[in-house]
Amino acid sequence: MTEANLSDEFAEIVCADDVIRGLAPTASLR
Amino acid sequence: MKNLNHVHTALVVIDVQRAFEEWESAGRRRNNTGALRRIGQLLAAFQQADAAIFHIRHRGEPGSSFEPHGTGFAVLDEARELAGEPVIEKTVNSAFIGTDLEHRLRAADIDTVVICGATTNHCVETSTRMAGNLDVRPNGA
Repeated sequence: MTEANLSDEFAEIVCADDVIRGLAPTASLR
Repeated sequence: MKNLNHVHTALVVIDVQRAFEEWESAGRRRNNTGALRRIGQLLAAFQQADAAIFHIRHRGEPGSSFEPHGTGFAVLDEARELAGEPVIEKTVNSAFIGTDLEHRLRAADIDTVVICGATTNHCVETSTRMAGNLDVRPNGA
């Protein structure tokens, strides 16, 4: 699976770190 | 990625079940050995943010690695749900077919889903694409 396979106008491949930061900007990774 | 509104964003964790561990023990290769740890981090972040989480389990036919009373059906410890977190069983590759996931997302006013699990190019991809078709903005993590 590559980013090009799934990221399109309907969906986006994202990094877990970015999700965690985006969900709670002050959250730290464990 | 911009900030996610924890009120309108849900984490959907798909098929993190022992069957995949059993397949690996039987010689199948896993291409993302860090995935379980990352799924655990996502779960912890959503739990900490008090955001919605939906656990999806695959229920297979008799003889399948995912048959309900078989050893492969059980969730892996890293992705085990906490009390109160919904667990939804599916029987096909999409988490939206034959389940009430769409209804639950809409009832909870969720407009964005973060989807992770096993395996990316099967049930995760199918569910992600279908979330897009249903206009629930999907992010595959």
